[in-house]
Amino acid sequence: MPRFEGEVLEVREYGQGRLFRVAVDSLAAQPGQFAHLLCGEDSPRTLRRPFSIMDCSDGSLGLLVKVVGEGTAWLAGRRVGDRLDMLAPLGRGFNLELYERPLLVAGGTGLAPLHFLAKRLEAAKGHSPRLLWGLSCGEDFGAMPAWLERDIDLSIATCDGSAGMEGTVIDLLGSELARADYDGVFACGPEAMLDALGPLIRKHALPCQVSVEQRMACGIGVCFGCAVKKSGEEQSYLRVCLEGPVFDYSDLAWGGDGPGGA
Amino acid sequence: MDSRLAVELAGIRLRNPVMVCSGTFGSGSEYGDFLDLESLGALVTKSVTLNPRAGNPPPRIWETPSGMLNSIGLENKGVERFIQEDLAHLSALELPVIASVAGSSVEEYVEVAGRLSDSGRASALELNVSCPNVKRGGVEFGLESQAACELVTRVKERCGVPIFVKLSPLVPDMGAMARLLQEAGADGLSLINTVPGMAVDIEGKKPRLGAVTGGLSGPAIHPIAVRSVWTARQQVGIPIIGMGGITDWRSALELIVAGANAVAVGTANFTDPQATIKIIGGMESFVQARGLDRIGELVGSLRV
Ligand SMILES: Cc1cc2nc3c(=O)[nH]c(=O)nc-3n(C[C@H](O)[C@H](O)[C@H](O)COP(=O)(O)OP(=O)(O)OC[C@H]3O[C@@H](n4cnc5c(N)ncnc54)[C@H](O)[C@@H]3O)c2cc1C
Ligand SMILES: Cc1cc2nc3c(=O)[nH]c(=O)nc-3n(C[C@H](O)[C@H](O)[C@H](O)COP(=O)(O)O)c2cc1C
Ligand code: FES
Repeated sequence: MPRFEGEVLEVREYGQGRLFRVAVDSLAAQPGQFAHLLCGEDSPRTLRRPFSIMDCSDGSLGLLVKVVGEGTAWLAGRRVGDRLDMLAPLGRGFNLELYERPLLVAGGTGLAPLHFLAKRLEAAKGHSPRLLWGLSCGEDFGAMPAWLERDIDLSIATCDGSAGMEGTVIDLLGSELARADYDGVFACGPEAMLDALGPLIRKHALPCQVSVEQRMACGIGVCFGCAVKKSGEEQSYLRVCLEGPVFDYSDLAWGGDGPGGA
Repeated sequence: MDSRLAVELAGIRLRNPVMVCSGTFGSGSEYGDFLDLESLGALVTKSVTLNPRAGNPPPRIWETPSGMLNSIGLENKGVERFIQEDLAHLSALELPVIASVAGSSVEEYVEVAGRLSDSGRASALELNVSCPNVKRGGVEFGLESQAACELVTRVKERCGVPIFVKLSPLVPDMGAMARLLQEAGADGLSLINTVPGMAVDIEGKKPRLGAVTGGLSGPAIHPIAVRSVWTARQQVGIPIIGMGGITDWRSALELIVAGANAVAVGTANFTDPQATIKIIGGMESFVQARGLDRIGELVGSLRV
């Protein structure tokens, strides 16, 4: 049954981010899949909150949470020994088989599924793929960039130039694609970043798998609440929780107010 | 299962009075990963229309204090695929299935209801004449008693299964509407659908929902549901399925004491996929503790 209460084993604070390790019995999650968390105890918020799974190994699950509102603020207050009620793993993850030489592109907490993916690809191929990570400022995630640099093949872009390259992760992607030969892109981040990815991947004729966000209720495909716009046809939608959150970039309607419509 | 919880609704026997609301349980089997579907009283499926519908533009959800707004817009695969793919599946279960019907004309309701009835796979039908999220279809039949009664008469002529009518809490005179529907031959009422609502992004000066307005559900609307059930119960003897904001056995029993013969759980399934099971357990303990012979003794037991 994909529902359980997991005990928080570890909480690490990285600037605006909290990295949780939660105990799970035998859970087989794929990079790109998510966990749907109840936020609040005695009278929980009506809707669960979705978070990408950042790691799943040795009986524990990793989640990277950035505080943006009430639910994430509640989560940030959890301590070792507290229990989290979650449905997981949900959704369709990345297809690891499609590209020989993939490039990974993350913005903000979009790092979570791509870090998981990088580790899985490393295990499969014997070397870590390159991951580009965009932050608004080097301090956003505290010591996490320094830790990750030792862990995976990471390049950072910050808007204020305080760490890595000064500029957006899209600028970084542009120079990386000009420099080296890739045959596919995995991406996750804010919708504006994903939208800006379009011209570059089209220019280099690269296929791309992208993990997108949408507000969710059920998380398992029953309510049709998490619709995003499909490309091609007017008024045609896909469910992020069931058909996604990972989609082929070209299956979604970019431009305008984006696939999520917000 | 405690037989004291068993109820009968329009000739359909339910092992307990706890059902799930249309649109909050998919086509039925998805929640099978989280609970034993056969422990529910009955299952109401997502409203279907004659042809597939794409639904409304996103975003379709917004969380509100003690509730949520949705503007799904009746996205569904159309009645034929629903019968083939979903009802076929569900009818294999030991579980009464009530199929919800929507449409934008009397003809469409009659056609969809007729096909579902002919399939032999639905124990009853629920006419959704109260969806706030579609321009045509629904509310114009549901708010005006003459149109609603004509619809019921026409559907009853065509169908061989019991017909429940699902109403909006915005019905101007709930008591009169309930009485007229009973006279028109409705076998039962489902009360209530979501309450029309709206939320605004004050920074962007934009509506939160792609469809601008939506329907409010969850604990926030529970008192409205209790009042609707109570008002209708004073006028009719036909079964009432009470719904709106149920989160636990207490909020479920409130509707029963106010006059509902059964209850349906909606939004709470999203918060807790096992909500229905916990509610059934709570009712069992209550019936036991009060020494009731059957839960039916509580229906409409309100003393005013
Ligand atoms: C598939 C998926 C994976 C995600 N992975 C991560 C992750 O790894 N780390 C992380 O920090 N965040 C992630 N998010 C975003 C995260 O779900 C939101 O930040 C969170 O729901 C905000 O909740 P809140 O109560 O703090 O904010 P509020 O703004 O108070 O939330 C109000 C409502 O809007 C919803 N909501 C608000 N922002 C988002 C959003 N961006 N996406 C979906 N729903 C939203 C909430 O769930 C809630 O229902 C992911 C979202 C999705 C869909
Ligand atoms: C996401 C969502 C979808 C819904 N879809 C339908 C529907 O297709 N047909 C219908 O009659 N009611 C629909 N409803 C209304 C519910 O069946 C129910 O009447 C309402 O939500 C009140 O109950 P609740 O507060 O327990 O959710 C929907 C409600 C929600 C939240
Ligand atoms: S959140 Fe309910 S269908 Fe995706």
